[in-house]
Order: sequence, then C-alpha cells, then structure tokens
Amino acid sequence: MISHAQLNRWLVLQRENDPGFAQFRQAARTTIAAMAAPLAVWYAQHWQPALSGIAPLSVAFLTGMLMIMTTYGETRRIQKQSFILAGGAGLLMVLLEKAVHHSYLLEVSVFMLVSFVVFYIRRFGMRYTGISIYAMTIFLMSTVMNTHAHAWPGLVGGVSIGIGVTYIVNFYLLPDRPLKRFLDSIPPFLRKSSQVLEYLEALLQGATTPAETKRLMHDALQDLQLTVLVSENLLGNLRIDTHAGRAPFRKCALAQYRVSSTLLIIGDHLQHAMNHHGLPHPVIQTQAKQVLQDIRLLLVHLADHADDATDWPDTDGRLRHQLDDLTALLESSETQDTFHLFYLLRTVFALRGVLDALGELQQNWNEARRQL
Amino acid sequence: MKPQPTTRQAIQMMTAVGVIYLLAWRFPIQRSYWAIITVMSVLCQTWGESIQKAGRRIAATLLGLVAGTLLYSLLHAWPEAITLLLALMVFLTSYYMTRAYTQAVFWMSIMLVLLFGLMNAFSFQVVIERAYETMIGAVVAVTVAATVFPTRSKGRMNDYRGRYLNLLMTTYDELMSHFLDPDRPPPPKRDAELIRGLDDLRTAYDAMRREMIFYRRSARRRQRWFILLENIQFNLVCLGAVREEINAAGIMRPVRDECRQIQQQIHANFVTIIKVMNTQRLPEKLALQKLDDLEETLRKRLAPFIRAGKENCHACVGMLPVFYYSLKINTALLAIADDINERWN
Repeated sequence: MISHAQLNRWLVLQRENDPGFAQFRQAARTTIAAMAAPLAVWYAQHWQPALSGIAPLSVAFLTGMLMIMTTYGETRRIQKQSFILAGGAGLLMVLLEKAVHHSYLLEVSVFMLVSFVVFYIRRFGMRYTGISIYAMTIFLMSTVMNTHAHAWPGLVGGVSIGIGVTYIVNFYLLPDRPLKRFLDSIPPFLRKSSQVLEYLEALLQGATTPAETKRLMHDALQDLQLTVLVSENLLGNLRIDTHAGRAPFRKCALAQYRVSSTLLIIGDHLQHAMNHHGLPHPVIQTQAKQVLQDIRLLLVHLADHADDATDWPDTDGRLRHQLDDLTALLESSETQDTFHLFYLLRTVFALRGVLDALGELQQNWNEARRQL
Repeated sequence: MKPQPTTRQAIQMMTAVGVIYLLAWRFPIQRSYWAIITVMSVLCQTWGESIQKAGRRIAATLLGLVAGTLLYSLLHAWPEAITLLLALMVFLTSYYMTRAYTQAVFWMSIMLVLLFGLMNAFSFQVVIERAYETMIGAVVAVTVAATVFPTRSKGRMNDYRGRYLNLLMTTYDELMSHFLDPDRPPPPKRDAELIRGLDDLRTAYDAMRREMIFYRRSARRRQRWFILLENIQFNLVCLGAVREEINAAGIMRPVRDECRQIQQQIHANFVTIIKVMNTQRLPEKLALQKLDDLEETLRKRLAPFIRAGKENCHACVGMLPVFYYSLKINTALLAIADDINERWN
C-alpha cells in the first residue's frame, strides 16, 4: 500500500511541476467535455433521429477532446474568438467532406490540399496550430464515418453539440485562471532558489568540492532560469485588460529575474574564490554560512506562506545587520589576497541584492493577490 | 529559393498524406487514417525531431496497446468500469500531452482500445492494425522529413547559433556603452530574450543528438559550442543584474581607457566569429585578441585604490564585474575560436 509520506511526497512533486495544478485543471476540463459531449448527443437522439448511430457520438467525443487546445489567446475575448473559429472550421470540414465524398480521387486530392492549408496557416500564429489539428482530424473522421449519403446531418449535429458543451465547460464551468496560475508559479521558484543556496552552504562548509558544486549549480540555475521564463510566458495569458492592472504581476516577474541572476552571481563568485584561494577564514566562513542559511529559510518561509498575504518577515533587519558585519569582517581581514577579498565582498553585495529583490517580490506579490 | 519553415512543413505533410493514400490503394491498409494521424503528430520542423518523436510514438503505442488489451480482457464484462477507465485515460492523455509525449501516447493507446471495446468493435485484428499503421505513419513521416525539403537540426542549430551570437554581442555592447557613458538612456533588459534564445538552442541541440549517428564528430563540436554560448549568456545576465551597482560606482577614471579597449576588443572578437559563421569560410587560422595584458594592467592600477580606504575599495568592488565578466566572455570566445581552428586543422 502507498504510505501517507509517499503520497505527500508525490503531491509536493506534482505541485512543483504543475504550479496551481493548472495542467490538472486543464485535463479535468478536457475529460468533462469529452465525456459530456457524447452524453449530450446520446440524450438528443430522442428528439433528433439523425443523431443516432456511432458517428455523431464519436465526433462529439473528439470535439470535446481536441477543442480545448484551440483556446489560445491573451484575453478571454481572443480565446473565445479562437474557439469559435475552430468550431466553424470543424463544421466547414464536415460540409466540405460531404461535397467531395462521391469521388475517392477527389476526396483524397481535397484532403491533401486541406493538409497543406492547415499546416501552412500555422505561420500566422500559435492560435492556428490547435485550430488546424482539430479541423484536419474532423475532416479525416468525416471521411471514415460518412459512409452513407445521409450521415452528414448527424456529423454536423455531433460537432455542433460537442462545440456547445466544450464552450460551456471551458468558459463557464471550469474557466482558466491565468492570473492565479502566474502567482502559483512563484512558490516553486522560491523553493528552487533555496535549493541553490543549499548547494552553496555545502560548498562553504567544505562538504562538496567546487567542481561538484559547479555541476549541481549549473543544473539548478538552468532550471531556475526556465522557471522564470515559464512564469514570464504566463504573463502573456493574463486576463487583465488595463495596463495598470498588470503592473504588480510584471514587477513580480522582474523581481524573479533579479533573484535568479543574483543567485547566479553569488554562485559564480563563491566558486571562483574557493577555487583559487580555498576556504575563507573560519570566522568569515561561519558568518557567511549563517547568512546563507537564514536567506534560504526566508525563501522557504515565503514559499510556505504562498496562500495568504504576509508581511515581510522581521528577520530582514537581522539579516542586513549580519551582512554589514560580514562586510566589516572582510574589509578588516588582512590575510586575504586582494582579489580574493574582491570576490567575497561581491558575494556579500549580491546577497544584499537577493534580499532587496525578495522584498520587492513580496510587496508586489501581496498587491497582486489583492487584485485576484 | 528556400521555402519558409511553415511552407516546407505543409508540403511535407501534403506529400506524406499522398504517400499514405497511395500505399492504402496498393496494399490492404484498412484504417489509413491512423497512419495519417501518426504523421500529423510525428512530423516536426527537423528530421532529428521527427526521428525522436517517431521512436517514442511507436514504443508507447505498442506498450499501450498491450496494456489496453489486457485491461479490456479483464473488464469486458463490466461496461461501467470500462467507461470510468476511459474517462481516466482521457484525463491522463490530456494531463501528459504537453509535458510528456511518450506517456500521453501510452495512455491514448489504452483509451483507444477501451473505446473500441465500448463500441463493441474490439478485436485483435484492430489492435494489430493500429500497431502496424502507426509504424507505417512513423516511417513515412521520417522518410518524408528526410527527403522532401529536409531540414536537419544541424542546420537549424547553425541558424540559431548565428542569431544568438548576434544577440549576445548586442547585449554586451549596450551594457558596456551604458557603463562608459552613464548619461545615455539605459539599455533594454534582455534577460528573457537571452534565456529564450538559449532554450531554442537547447531544443535544436536535443533534436540534433538524434541525428548524431550520421555525423557524430560534428555533433560533439556543436555541444561544446552550446556550452560556451551558455557560458556567455550566464555572464551577460550577471553583468546586466549589477548594472545599477556599476553605474552607482561609476567607471573609475584611471581605468576608463582600459575598459573602452576591453569593449572594443571583445566586440571585434564577436564580429570575427560571426563573420566566419555567416560566410562559412574558415580563415587559415582564426586569431582572436586576448586580454591578458589588459587584465594585468588593471590589477596593478586597482591595487593601490583598494588599500587607500573604504570608499575607494567599494568603488573598485562595484567596478569589478565589468572586468570579471568581460574576461570570462572573452575566454569563451577564445574557446570558440580554438574550436573553429581545430575544425580547420
């Protein structure tokens, strides 16, 4: 049996990989639409005999499964437009197939032409990719299912009901919430950032070699950069029409960039200093380790309190004080090589930069939460 | 004339559909639409990506069909259970579609078997047809991708690489000009652009690895390039992150000329490499300018300032990233030049 701890670990992993369970919700939306559409067709058979048979049920199921991917667009209005465009293309494909069904050669030629057109229109933007896949699949299914001359009204009915049901599921029953999705992507980012600091702590303790840390850091930082990029891409899907409304979200994304690039600097300088000059003086080492640990805990704290607007923790003042002490310690240190001192001082500056960026992120995050 | 990528892909798709219909006319292929759907899914922008996706599609379909058949054999007496399982498969297919293609195809194949079972159309013949028609579709897609206006990931990687080098050079020049002349308006932040460009390169590189069996040596060289470009990008992101700090400290007068020289030399190095990339003509020996002497001069000039007092020391520390990251960027450029020279030899 699966233990409670295993289940918990799995849930944490899912939450990290799928911030705000956005993909989970998308899959749920698809499932409901794909199951409800044929059910609606089956129910409508009582009034409309043309809908009886396997063909209308199948195209309704396909419409429910595929139409979800056609809702591409920045705003809800554009998403609806894409959706309606795809639905129209689907219906057009059924009618086109009906028109050419009498001749196999003509049907094949038209399908070849259709396959050219639907791939070609992708050049006009991402929204046409989903539309083209849906339209082509419906044409293909119509060639298979339109086995007798009077099957097409059933196909048109199946596609229409499928479009209607998917529209309701997609825009009213389980609407997408990109704003929340964006905010939900921040805690995984913070956890990944804390992971980077953990590697640096181990390096400073001498628990790992600079070469080993370099490898670990490379992967962690690459992952962090991609997380920020995904987060930024999400901004493109925000359903806010006014520019002012976007400001805190935009600032959150910028603050994330700042955190990630400052962590990059800290990692780089610390590795450089350790590579060329070995471990720093034990006093500096202890103090620096403490600061890294405190910032890491701060990141985890912010990630854990993602669901409610929190005040910037009191630890900030203490942390800044620690950083001042560390700077003073480094400046008074005479035994260090001049350029070694440079790198360590820059590391401290960068740590201060992380704190500043985190403060900015927290402030805008709170503001963004209020706008939800 | 070279057609646009979308035009090329559209022609490839049209050709593949024609080939499948021709095969269906000549040989007993019952459900040619399965092969066409496979082509739709497998045909990618480059040959390498198509090979990669075709392999995944075939493996996941075969496994899914076996699992689906087993499940249906166990549950065929309970249509309610099959319906519930079908809903679960729809969910899993959709959940994994954008994140793990292989898994999505696996769940989709099970879903298909259950769907046929629910429609009382299940038979081993159907399962076998699905398997071999998927294979036909995958083979046709890969063949068409390799023969009709083929685009190799190698070529795409070259395009991306050239464009990315240009972006790196522009970003570096903008930042350095801003540091040397703080009165100029600040340059745009290019972090997202840099990360996105690198991500495109990474995708092209991953796809190229599938083509590696055909030109293994060349692929290894491109891997080295990728790591070096990533290195430059990391350093530029760092330099951009501290630009306010550098501007606050200002470039100290005694080393301003050296800074300008560093910028000019790195710019020249970028231009030389981009020129070689664009013309695809290798000079007898590509020699880039090193910055070792400048680094030594800078160290000597800055040392007295650090000892002179706290304020000067802070100004030096504020400026340090300019030299540090510039030197690292140049080291990566020198490594790229070494690589080009190695190819020449």
